[in-house]
Amino acid sequence: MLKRHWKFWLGFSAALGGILAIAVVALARPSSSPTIRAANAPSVPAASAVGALNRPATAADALPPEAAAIAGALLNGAPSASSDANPGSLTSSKSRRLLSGLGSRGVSLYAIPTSKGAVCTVFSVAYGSAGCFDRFTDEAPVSVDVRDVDQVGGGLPAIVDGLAPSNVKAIEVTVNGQRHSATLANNAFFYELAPSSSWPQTVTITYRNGATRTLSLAAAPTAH
Amino acid sequence: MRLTFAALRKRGGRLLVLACALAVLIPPVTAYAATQFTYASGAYGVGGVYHTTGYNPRQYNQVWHKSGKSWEVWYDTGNNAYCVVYNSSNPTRCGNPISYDARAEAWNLDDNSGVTWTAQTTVP
Repeated sequence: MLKRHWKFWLGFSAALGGILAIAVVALARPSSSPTIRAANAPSVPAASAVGALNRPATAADALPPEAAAIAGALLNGAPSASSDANPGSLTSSKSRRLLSGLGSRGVSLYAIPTSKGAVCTVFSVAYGSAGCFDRFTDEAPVSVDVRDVDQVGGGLPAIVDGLAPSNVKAIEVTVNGQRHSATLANNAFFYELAPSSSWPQTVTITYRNGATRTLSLAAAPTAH
Repeated sequence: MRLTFAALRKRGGRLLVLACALAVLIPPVTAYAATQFTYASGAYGVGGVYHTTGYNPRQYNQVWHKSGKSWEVWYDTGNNAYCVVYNSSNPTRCGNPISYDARAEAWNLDDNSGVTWTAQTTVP
């Protein structure tokens, strides 16, 4: 029977092989599409993911006075400790400097762990605190903070900053259709927009395995 | 007029007392210059924009919420938006003061966690 229908079986095998080959190529190719998600974002507590918090402290890790004051005021008005909206108490003695010499103001970014395993970030000057982030998840694969501390589009430019787990290789910020590389080191990233720009549109994460994921950012509000 | 050593000592003592009194009195005056209040609170309400009813100078604007859920806060003077902060950290906070009369506003972008969120700012 096989001999009689050899043409059919030859064609069937070729078609099946072709389909399998296309499937293998499609699955192996790193995604460059913003709509395809990288399936590599398990839930990880931020305090354990930020490696700098687990290394010995140096003199540069101590919070400078302005950052200490910002950290000291950060938890004013926090809900009760039992609430899921309470990030825990700050352990400022365990602060670590993640980045320095950032942007036009040359600011530094510090991480402070909390009693609940979250990580709060504080700038040395100008930008205040980006709050506390408790874990990396599929929904929040990095913590993204966008801020313009004066009038939007005037004064100091907006910045994009945040924390990223160690499987992140690069962070890019898209502003008016142009992608810009953010500074990324010690599980933290930072990008300052050009003075003429007002607000970023997306953040693209590139993972060490080559996969990418693009996060849309909320627009800046308009006064009314 | 010629000041003797004793007179200088006496004057210095008075200055020291005055300095100590100011050091004790000034910080509480500064600390209570602004009063924090809650202008909105709730659970869920994705897409909602919440704001104060009045326009005032403010010290900060913040929302306590479930970490990982996105919020945006800003000051609105009626003409411009100031100190716009967008993130999924907790609190989402603009810690910079504004000297203009402005509303404090907060936008719930995707917080469907069910955890109670609280928006706070100050009045003079």
